Amino acid sequence: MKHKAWLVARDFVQQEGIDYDDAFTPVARMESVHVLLARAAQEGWSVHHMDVKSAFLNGDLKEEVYMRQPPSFAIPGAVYRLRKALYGIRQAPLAWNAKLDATLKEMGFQQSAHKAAMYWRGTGHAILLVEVYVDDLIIADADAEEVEKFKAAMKQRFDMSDLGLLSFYLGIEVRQDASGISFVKPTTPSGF
Amino acid sequence: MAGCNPAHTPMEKKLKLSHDSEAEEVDPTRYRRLVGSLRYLVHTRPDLVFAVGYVSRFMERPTVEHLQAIKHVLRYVVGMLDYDLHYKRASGAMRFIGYYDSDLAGDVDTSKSTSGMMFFLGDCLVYWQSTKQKVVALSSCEAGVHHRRFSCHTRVVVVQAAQGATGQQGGCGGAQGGQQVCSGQESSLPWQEQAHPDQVPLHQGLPGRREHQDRPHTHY
Repeated sequence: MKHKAWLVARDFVQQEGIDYDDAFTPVARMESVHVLLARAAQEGWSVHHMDVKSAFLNGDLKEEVYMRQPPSFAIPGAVYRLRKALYGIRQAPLAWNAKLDATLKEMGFQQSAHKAAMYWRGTGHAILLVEVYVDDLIIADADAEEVEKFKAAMKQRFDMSDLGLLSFYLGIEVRQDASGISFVKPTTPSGF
Repeated sequence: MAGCNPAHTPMEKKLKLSHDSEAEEVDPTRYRRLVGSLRYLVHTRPDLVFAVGYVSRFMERPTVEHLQAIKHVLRYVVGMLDYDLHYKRASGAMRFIGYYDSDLAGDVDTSKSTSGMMFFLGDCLVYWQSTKQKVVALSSCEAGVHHRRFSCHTRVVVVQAAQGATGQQGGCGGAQGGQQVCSGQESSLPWQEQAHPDQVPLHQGLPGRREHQDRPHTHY
């Protein structure tokens, strides 16, 4: 048996303008995922899936945020000054997205002007498309070697799990084969 | 509902349900739960989008009549379990085409119209929606205008997504890719553009494809 504990901040005591400014973050809309899969299916590309472990812990905080120490682990007379985001912090999603955005751009990606969650690198058939849904990355490319290179580069920067070919996304099962890509029906709802 | 007879359509043809149904009331929680489950299915089943949108209007005070409509949808789902939304591998230019229609004041309680639309990228259906309009139109022409405005907006959103997926920075040119094709009675109205036999490629063709055609002409 494995015991797990998680230090979580209490975001409800954070005050807007003092502890955080913006707290929003872009996510991929369903139709842009469909568009990406449509292009991949037509071109016969394979679509890969990666996941960042404990994504929000990677974000750097630009605000000055202090946190009370957790009870029973407290050093008397001190508080924590947070340099990186914690789960539970209001701006954690934004801080994480800013970090990922900067990382992808540093790796030579361009961000779509209309869809903030979509990035690409290269042109024509050598294009590598990445769609971001918070900590999920959907990667499409014709060249399997490029995908592996990208995955290796991401693993160097973050603690990632490689989920291989995309098979399950936001509760929808996706099946890839030589004929194209199918969205498989969810398992029959029970209780009717 | 295991072992029920499958239905061929998600809804009875020309079914009109009202909020003021005098039939016996049913458990609203159960009704809403069913609608919730069906909503989830709509993400991969475009054929259900209208029927599910329709039954979800009566969640406030559902009656036996409304529940029957839901059961009809479920019987349809049972018969279609082996069907998937499939994006097939294909060669040639990916054309962006939208279809839309409106039921012209189909809601018996409010006289509001319901718009439906679907957008294809090549042979792949990438977006579908069915929405009751927010305003009551005083004429079929006005209904068409509202409907059109709405579908244009949606088209811009979807084209922008498509431009992202093809690695294009389209600036404000989102609405320039693709065209819309309408169906049903509306196409006979004078202000309506007619369905085009030839289709246009997405915004100046796609990178990596050799053919390069002129930017498609838009009609408004």
